[in-house]
Amino acid sequence: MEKYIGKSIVLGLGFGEITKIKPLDLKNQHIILSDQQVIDELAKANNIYKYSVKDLENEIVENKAILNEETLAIINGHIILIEDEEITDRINEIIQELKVDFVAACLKTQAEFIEIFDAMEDPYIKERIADIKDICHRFIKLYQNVDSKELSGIVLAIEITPSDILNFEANKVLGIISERNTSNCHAAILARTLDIPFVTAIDGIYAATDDADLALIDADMSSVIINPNKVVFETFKTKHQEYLTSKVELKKYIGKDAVFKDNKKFDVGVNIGNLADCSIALEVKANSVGLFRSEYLYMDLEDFPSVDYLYNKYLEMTKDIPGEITIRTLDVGGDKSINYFNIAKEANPYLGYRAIRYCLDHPEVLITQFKAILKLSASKEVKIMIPMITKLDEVLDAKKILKQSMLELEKEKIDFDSKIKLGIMIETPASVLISDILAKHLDFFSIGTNDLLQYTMAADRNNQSVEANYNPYSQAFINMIDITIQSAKRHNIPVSVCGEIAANKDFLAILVGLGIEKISVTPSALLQVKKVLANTTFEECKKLVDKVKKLESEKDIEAYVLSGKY
Amino acid sequence: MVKQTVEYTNNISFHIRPIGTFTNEVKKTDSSVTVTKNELTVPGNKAMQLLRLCIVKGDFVTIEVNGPDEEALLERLVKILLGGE
Repeated sequence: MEKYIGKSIVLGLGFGEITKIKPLDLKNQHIILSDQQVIDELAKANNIYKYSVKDLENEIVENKAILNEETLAIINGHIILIEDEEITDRINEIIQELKVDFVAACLKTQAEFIEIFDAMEDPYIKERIADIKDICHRFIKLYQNVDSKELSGIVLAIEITPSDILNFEANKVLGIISERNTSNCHAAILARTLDIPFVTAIDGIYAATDDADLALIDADMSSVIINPNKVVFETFKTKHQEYLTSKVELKKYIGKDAVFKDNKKFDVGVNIGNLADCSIALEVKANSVGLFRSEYLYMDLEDFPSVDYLYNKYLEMTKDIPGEITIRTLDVGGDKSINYFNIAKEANPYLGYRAIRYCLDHPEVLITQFKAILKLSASKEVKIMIPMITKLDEVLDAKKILKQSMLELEKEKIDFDSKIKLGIMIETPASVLISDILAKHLDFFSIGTNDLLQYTMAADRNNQSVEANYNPYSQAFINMIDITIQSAKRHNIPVSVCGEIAANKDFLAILVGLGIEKISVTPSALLQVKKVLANTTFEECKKLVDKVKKLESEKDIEAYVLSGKY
Repeated sequence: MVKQTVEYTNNISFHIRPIGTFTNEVKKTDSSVTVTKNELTVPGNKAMQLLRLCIVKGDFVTIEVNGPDEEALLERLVKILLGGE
């Protein structure tokens, strides 16, 4: 039995026998051809181009039932680019000039176009790299005459391609495992449309596994188990059965408003920070983003990004979200370090130089973010949220920098929403205790429960020895939330919760009872949260909180809430 | 010959789908079409070259049409460019 942890592209569970997809032979053999061979190679190439277009048109017809607008656009895009002849002309030219074989010419052409598109700033146009790769791989596959058998069971590949997925036997593929795919690649989009659990980023699994091995995929946990023992398999089968039952049930919440049993509405958004989050958000049709973590945009880089880079990333990652987007400015430091920020190693990083503390000392970093967010506000409903506030002066200084960012954009004649809403994360006890003052200067609060809990209880959330101290059912923590809500209500500003605790069905009832009207959860928890809300009423939650407020011990509170008897 | 310069105002760049519609429209006629952005001119029937122009919000783009149905064709092409599905 082997267990692997990867990254989930499409959530869900599946198990079955493995079918391995043989990778294309992309080793560039660079065979030098004779003049006659060049003529033959060109004839073969031209047949491949013609056949590719026919093949794609057939795929559209054969898969009509499962293709949606997005996936159809991908295939049509491929047809347009092949018929356009710029790629194919270049391949032919290389065969003729360098007298090399078709595969070498395809790989060279692919590399040339990737270089051109990689230099472009626009994210949508950059994505065409994927099309060019897909097209060239399709050509090579046809050239090498790779047997395209119909695939079933659990499909395993080094890198799965859109044409692999279009070759799946209808409803017979129960899961996909690959070593390298990205969450927004075309194969991922297709897998999502077909709703097939998909885990990627598992190095070495292809070589370590054989055809017909038994595989269990739990994409909800990003895990894959190969050849499980009997106990593990039986446990998985039970979980799988529950998954199938709840899947049908949870599906009905996709795209629906979150409402209580008595039809009272509740606002639930999602937290996103990377493309994997975005793809799941799209899958569950999230309507709004309550927390966009900006720091991940900085992590992949070698140096500070430009306004346009950030703006394009924000635009790309929120393009499928129709509603409001709350973007948190950089929360660097703490447990998230980025080399080029040059933040010295600290003894207590959580109590150190992080988030707004760093940004106010480096206004140029904050201005870049503000300008990118403001630019986005011209076309989307956007709010700005500042993390780690402990005093009013930080808010006032940030506001000055926001004003300056606006003036710069005005000079540059760039549109933005001049009435953009500015709020803060409430995640330090200090901010709770002065929330009455802060509320006068801000448009909203959002409670970051992970940090607020660790700072309130003085318990490191990553230290297992103090796990028992990191308990949300503490009167101190519940009071922190209560004080924040009361301050917000007094000043008539909205208050939401964007920490992980909001997805906990028992604690959610406390939050609702305390008066929270909006939460934001990890995208994979969205449907479950809607289901929990649909089975409860605001009055029940209110009753629960009335009772909780009378209890004094943490144990009593926890036991009472978990009993569900309220 | 007729030509028109327009500002591209869509949030999403001029991408493969509308480009496909654009080139198909050009291919249907006997007119010759060019598209110019920042002094770079490409033929209006070449999808990849249009893609490589990287037309994004705020760009000024000139479409030039030469041929029997130039007026009507220009009007249709501007509409496709700005329609930006």
